[in-house]
Amino acid sequence: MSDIGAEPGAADGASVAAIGTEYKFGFHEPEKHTFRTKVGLSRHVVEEISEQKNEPPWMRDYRLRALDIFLKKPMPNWGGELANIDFEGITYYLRPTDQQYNTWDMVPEEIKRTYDKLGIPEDERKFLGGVGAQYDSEVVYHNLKSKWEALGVIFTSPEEAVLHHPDLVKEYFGTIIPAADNKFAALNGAVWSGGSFIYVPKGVKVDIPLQAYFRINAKNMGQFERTLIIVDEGAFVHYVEGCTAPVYSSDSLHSAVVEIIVKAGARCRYTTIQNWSTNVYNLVTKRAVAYRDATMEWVDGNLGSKLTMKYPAVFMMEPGARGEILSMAFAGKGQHQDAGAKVVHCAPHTSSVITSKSVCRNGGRTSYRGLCKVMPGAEDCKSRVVCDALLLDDKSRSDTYPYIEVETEKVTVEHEASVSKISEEQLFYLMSRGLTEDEAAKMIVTGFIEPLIKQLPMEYAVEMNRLIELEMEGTVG
Amino acid sequence: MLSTESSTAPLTSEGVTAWSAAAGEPSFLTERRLQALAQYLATPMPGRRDETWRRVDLGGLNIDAAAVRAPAEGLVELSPPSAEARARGVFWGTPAEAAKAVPDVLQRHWATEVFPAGAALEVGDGRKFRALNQALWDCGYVCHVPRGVEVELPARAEFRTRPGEDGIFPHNLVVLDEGASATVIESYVSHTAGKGLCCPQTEVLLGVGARLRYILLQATGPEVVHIGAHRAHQYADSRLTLASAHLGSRLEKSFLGTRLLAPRARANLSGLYCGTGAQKLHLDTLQHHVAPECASDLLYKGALGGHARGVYRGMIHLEPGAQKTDAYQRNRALLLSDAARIDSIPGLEILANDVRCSHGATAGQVDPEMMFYLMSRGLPRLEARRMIIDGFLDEVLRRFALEAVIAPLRELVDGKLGHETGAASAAAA
Repeated sequence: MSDIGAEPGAADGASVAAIGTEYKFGFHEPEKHTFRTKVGLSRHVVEEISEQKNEPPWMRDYRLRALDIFLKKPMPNWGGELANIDFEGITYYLRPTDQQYNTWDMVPEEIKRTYDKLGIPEDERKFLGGVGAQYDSEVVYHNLKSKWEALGVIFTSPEEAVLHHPDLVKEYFGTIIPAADNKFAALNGAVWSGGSFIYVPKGVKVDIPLQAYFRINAKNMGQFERTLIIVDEGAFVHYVEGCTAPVYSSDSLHSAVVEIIVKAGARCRYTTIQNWSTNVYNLVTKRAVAYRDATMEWVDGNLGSKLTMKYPAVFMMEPGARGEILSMAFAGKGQHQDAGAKVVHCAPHTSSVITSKSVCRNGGRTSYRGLCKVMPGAEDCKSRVVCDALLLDDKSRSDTYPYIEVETEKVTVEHEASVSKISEEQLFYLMSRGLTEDEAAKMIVTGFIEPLIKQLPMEYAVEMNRLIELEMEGTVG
Repeated sequence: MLSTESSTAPLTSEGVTAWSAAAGEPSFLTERRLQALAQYLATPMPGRRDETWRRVDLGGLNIDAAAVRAPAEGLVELSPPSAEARARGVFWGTPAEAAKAVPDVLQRHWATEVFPAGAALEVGDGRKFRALNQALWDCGYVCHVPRGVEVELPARAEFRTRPGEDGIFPHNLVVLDEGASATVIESYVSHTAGKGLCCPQTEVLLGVGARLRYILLQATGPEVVHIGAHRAHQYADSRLTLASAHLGSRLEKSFLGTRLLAPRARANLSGLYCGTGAQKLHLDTLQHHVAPECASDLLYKGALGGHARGVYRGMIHLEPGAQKTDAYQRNRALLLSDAARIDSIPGLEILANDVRCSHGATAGQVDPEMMFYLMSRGLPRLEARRMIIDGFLDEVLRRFALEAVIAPLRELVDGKLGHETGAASAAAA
């Protein structure tokens, strides 16, 4: 395991030892804020957030109810190690700039620099359906091609939606994931800020992915975005988010809530590439309901964070609904990816597929945690769950915790999981054809997660492959 | 045998000490009872926030009340030890007899290694019930086979639950020394209507190269609550073949498992569970790989009719260093009625990388295509259905290996499910 860095096609001249210890997106800009709440959580902080956003009383009341629930709920006693989260040491809201900008030129220079470093070039606008980029708590840049606007597609921040589309928000907000769902959903309900609001009208098919890039810049900043997507009958949308945060010595908290409604005959795909720095607690609740003949697809890639606990869910409410979840996790040193998926068959003639691929190395831990539930009377359901885990060394750990609950007779539910290492034969085969051990290992890992990469939009697939290559540097030996 | 009057033994150290003294137990047994009692008193009843017990409806089970009946005759019947085996140094008898005949075996292994008395309880364990058994055990068997001795005849122990609401707490110990081999058949039945607790615990120690066939039958009465723990510790090159059947009780929660502590130990665990009526059967299995180059293979199959609920929780846990492990875990459940329910939670925790571990779980109905095939060949619906269910269970039934066990077991299962399939078909027609 010596001169890999000098091999052609390996890391960009950087020393091998440094890679993996340095977080690629670990830069941060000096903080400039127009407003921030006091550190810690209180009724006053929640009221201030609501006031800053000029919210109507119904939303403020919702926040306060959620706060009460948060304070009452015990911490989860399963999943990852949560004891070190200091809720009183977190800033729950800050606002970097005074208004939203609708052209790139108006975005302040240091924020632009951040995005440039992340590799979101200015000209991406040309081929992206719309970019909503979130910098700390507010959406600072927003652009949606006028074509979609003309068709009635709404792609905005949830704050804007509360003010300008209150009927839609009132109808759906908090109905899929009520504040009482879990402690972190309650926390999000109290202090949510930013996120995306998408409405796709009946029959409209948005054929270019809508994208948002989330990023935590301020130190000790909690980020609590709230996303609500409504795909009306027969419509289609693909939403993509990527998340990156700079490295700070103290731990940050990201606790998002994503609610999705896929109406009859509609299809929604939601793709996440999570690459938070390794001091972020990423505790996210994501859930979709799919109605008659609707399809919901989650593509969930987890590379970053210290601890992720995230189980995207599909509730199949009416016959013909389908849920598909592709989950990929990569855990390195000090990381625990407790990721998975939930499918709940509430109606007959529904089907679901969960595919999970995880890789852990250098003391990392990946856990697949999933639920497949078939409710009473949900006849003729089919569900298949396949989990594969790859362990790259003897310091790492892989867990599989699938929960299968079947309450009706006429169903087919299958679960399979396997855990293995990179096989000697595969390595030998590739090395006998002239690849170094490192290159061969990289190639095998890339092949292992290929089914997921294939599902990503091209630019994300490229980024994902690059990230995995970086993660894989110096793995073997 | 313990011979106290059937008086009540209070759940206090004085009560347990007096009871142990009256039975003439050696002091180390009294001490272990007291350690376990302290543990029992310090352990809360398992509840909703305890993942292992979350799905178990203990229904306000009053174990303090169930626990206090003193020893009585007739709780267990042991097959007579063969003269030949005895001549070769094999011990087979009650714990009281063992305390006289093989005190060293008892002192070394009784509640010290597999389930050490007073030790902090682990998650996924029997929790409070494990300690309760060790404090209050009132019957049991001890099987010790010395080095190199192979016992041909199976040793049988049949435990009978008590009448009324009284509990029974069998504690068993199997010790096979290096290269020894034996077959033990342990069964739980009810000869009287009782709705008490049946709370057994079996500790198995397999020395280097030892081989044990261990057959476990749970066929207690329909009102009994059965909460058991059965675990083996396996040393190098040892081989455990466990086959268990879970048919009886109103509510069962059984922990079955093995720890593979030294290289090349092998375990084959299999079993079946059949629930009908409103039965609730919970099985927790553990394949704990501590040493390298071990193998374990598990297959549990369940058939559930009526309003029965089955909960299977399995765990393959590999410690760091358990390299070259081969571990498999399969759970298949057949639902025979629309109101039956199965939860299957097969888990893997892998802390070594050079391994092959996999698990699979399926749940479903009697395959309609198979039904169609059989009926198109002229079989009536009921018969076709029964044939498919028989075929489904046959794979595990065969793993009981002994014809003397398989035939009566098949009859028990048929009796149970035959009624169920008939009822289900009648309802469907």
